[in-house]
Amino acid sequence: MDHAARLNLIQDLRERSRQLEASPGRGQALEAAAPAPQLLRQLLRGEIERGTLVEWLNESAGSGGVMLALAVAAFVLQRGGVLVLIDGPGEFYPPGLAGLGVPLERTVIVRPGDTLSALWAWEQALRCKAVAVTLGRLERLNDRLFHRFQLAAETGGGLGFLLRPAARAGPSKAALRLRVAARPCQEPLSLVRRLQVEVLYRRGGAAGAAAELELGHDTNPVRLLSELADPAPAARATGA
Amino acid sequence: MLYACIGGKARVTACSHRARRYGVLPGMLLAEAQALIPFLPSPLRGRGDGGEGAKDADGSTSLIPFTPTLSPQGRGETAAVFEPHDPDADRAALQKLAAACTSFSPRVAIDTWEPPDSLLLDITGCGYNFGGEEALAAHVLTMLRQRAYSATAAVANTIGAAWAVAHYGNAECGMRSAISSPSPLLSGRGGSGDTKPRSESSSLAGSFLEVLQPLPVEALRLSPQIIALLHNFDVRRIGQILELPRSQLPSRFGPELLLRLDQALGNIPELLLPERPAEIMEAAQVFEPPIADRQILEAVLEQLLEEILRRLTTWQLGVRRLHCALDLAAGEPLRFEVELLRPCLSRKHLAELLRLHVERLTVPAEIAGVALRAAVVAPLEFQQAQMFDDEDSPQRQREALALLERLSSRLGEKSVVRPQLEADAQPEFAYGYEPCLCLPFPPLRGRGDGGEGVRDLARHPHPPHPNPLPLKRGEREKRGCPLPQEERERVRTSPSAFRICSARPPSLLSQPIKVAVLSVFPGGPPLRFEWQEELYIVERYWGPERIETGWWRGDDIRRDYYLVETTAGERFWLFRTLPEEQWFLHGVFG
Repeated sequence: MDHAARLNLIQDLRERSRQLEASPGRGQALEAAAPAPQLLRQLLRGEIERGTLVEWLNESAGSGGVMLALAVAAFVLQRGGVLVLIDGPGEFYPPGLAGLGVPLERTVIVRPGDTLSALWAWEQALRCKAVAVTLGRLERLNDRLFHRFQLAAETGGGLGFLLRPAARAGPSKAALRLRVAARPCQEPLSLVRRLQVEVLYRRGGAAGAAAELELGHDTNPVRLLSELADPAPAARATGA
Repeated sequence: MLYACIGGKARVTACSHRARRYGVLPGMLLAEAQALIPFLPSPLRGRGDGGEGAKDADGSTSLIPFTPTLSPQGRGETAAVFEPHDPDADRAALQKLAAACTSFSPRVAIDTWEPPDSLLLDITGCGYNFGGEEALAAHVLTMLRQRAYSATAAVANTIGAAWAVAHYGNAECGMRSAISSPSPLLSGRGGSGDTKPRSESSSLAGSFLEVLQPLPVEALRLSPQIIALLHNFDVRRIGQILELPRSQLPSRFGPELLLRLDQALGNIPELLLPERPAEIMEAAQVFEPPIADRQILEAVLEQLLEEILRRLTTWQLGVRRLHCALDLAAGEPLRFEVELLRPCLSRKHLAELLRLHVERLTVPAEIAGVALRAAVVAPLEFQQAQMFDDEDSPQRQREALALLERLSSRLGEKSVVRPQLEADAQPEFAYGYEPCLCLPFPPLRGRGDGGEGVRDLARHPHPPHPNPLPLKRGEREKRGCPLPQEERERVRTSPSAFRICSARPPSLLSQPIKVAVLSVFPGGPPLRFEWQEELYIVERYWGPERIETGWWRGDDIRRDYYLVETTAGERFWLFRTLPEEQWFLHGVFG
């Protein structure tokens, strides 16, 4: 096989692999997708696929990744379902959640006493069809557990939002990986925050896209400001 | 005498015949009743102070009127007993009587009128064994008399008519029972109705209309508002209602009047919900020799569960709470409970919950025996109708409840909670948690509308803050981020003003962390601070938000909160204590 034919074959295999990854047959993408705010729709070139794990990498403490994940969860919950917060250390603050639009009456906070219980609770929540979003911190997750969680999410059809600090994020099998970094606000009079979101990985493409957005706007909790980069082939080292 | 607090005042709710001789009547102020009783040694006496007198047909075993030695002249020892009215005790006594009445009829129900004071017996076909329905009624009254109850009974074709005659009829009014239709016999309350005869069975003759027409409108089981309205029109007898144009009754008096009238006349059916005898749903197993293997324990628990569920299935009841006791070869028995959010008959689900509980148990010795009891059961249909009222997602609702039960079983009830907002200005007390097993779960429907943030805040408002943006204009101008008056007005009047004014972090530190903060001047806003060995330069801030509260908790709180944004755009929630001027990090806008 000459060099050109080999390159063609590799290109063909890449394309088929991408198509397979993007195929809706995986999991429970049945109702097509979970609703995403306008920003994510533009950034991801579509909705978030149901039954998937989404990893939110917070650039640093106070960067706004948790806020954005919660705002998106609140958006998804508009169509019903339960939000399960796996909150071992007890960090989530209900008034702050309510301020982001999270319906507290449909929010369940689970406080597992140890790591094993936390993982069990994650899997149970992901597997439940009534749970729209399962959200919590998970700093370490090996491939086997990722796979179990992915299968559970596909069974339940909800979304799993994994919060991790970007500095300690290891390899990931999440279908969507977003890095959130804070940006100084340009409007000194407003409490609206400016965040930069970068798609590190997305199953089926759109990785490499980045955008700046505002969080906490009057009418739309998440508003796209500008796209910083076009989606490009996932060439960066995401570890995924 | 029984009394209860009605409209903020203690009033007599029931009294004995002997008390009536002194002029005491139900509804009278307790103080007046006490004044009417001569030689009253103590206004409120305990049960043991007096002898037990006749009980009322409402089953108030707590009604202990007077000692037999009491006389109107006040001679001899007097002892009146006043006790608070206990409706639960009344219902429990009625249930006991209902169980006793099953020897007369297989279908015995407690009156649904609140407060219940009657028993309803469906005696269709039962009169033959007693020499007719009137004889049966006489037997019932005899049984009640033997139990020291005074009662009135009436036989009629409808529940409404029987109730009316038993409560407001007299010996002369009668009604013939139609054998072909359900013939409820009603045992009426004997304690409060002073016009009706005691221990009498109303004879049965004549038609519905003849019997009902002279009875007062109260006999139709109408709400006080409807009765008052009828009285305003000088309509006091059922016969007067029957003379009014039927078509105008709903528009004039509401649908309730026509419903009750039709129920009494038999035009529309009325359901009789029989009381079921309380059966102890329990199963046990003794291990000889004692076991230590959890798998055996789980298998036995499943068998016991199956046995209980088989019995419950007959009654169409579901388990709400399971009580499990493990007898140990040494030491105190271990007990735990499995709580459910809705009645359940699923063996698989209950067995899983039991297994999750057993997994958490630390068993210090071998198990000598195990007992399982359905401590709380509830009708399946009733609860299902209540819990799964969301037409869109009944299946999802069930799944959510099952998840909560599983999580609570494995992690403990207090580890699976729902957050709630509290009206408290101090951030640490502005929220609370309620175990999910203690709350009914709401429908899972979403709103499907737009601006969810504002609507959510309307549903879950933050505790009102007295001064959301107490700005020091001078300070703001120095920092280069003044908030002019018009902007403050805009913020306050914008739809999401509440959110902006009371912005709270999604993450609150369990304990505020003391941080080193540099201010421009003492009492001024933060310029930079150190946390986790990192230096943060404050680019802009919002505040101070002064919180002064907590004095009633013995811990006077005075804090100035600042929402700060660093040069990198990170946001934190800092506060300075007053007057100590110490800085703490309290929340992270992570």
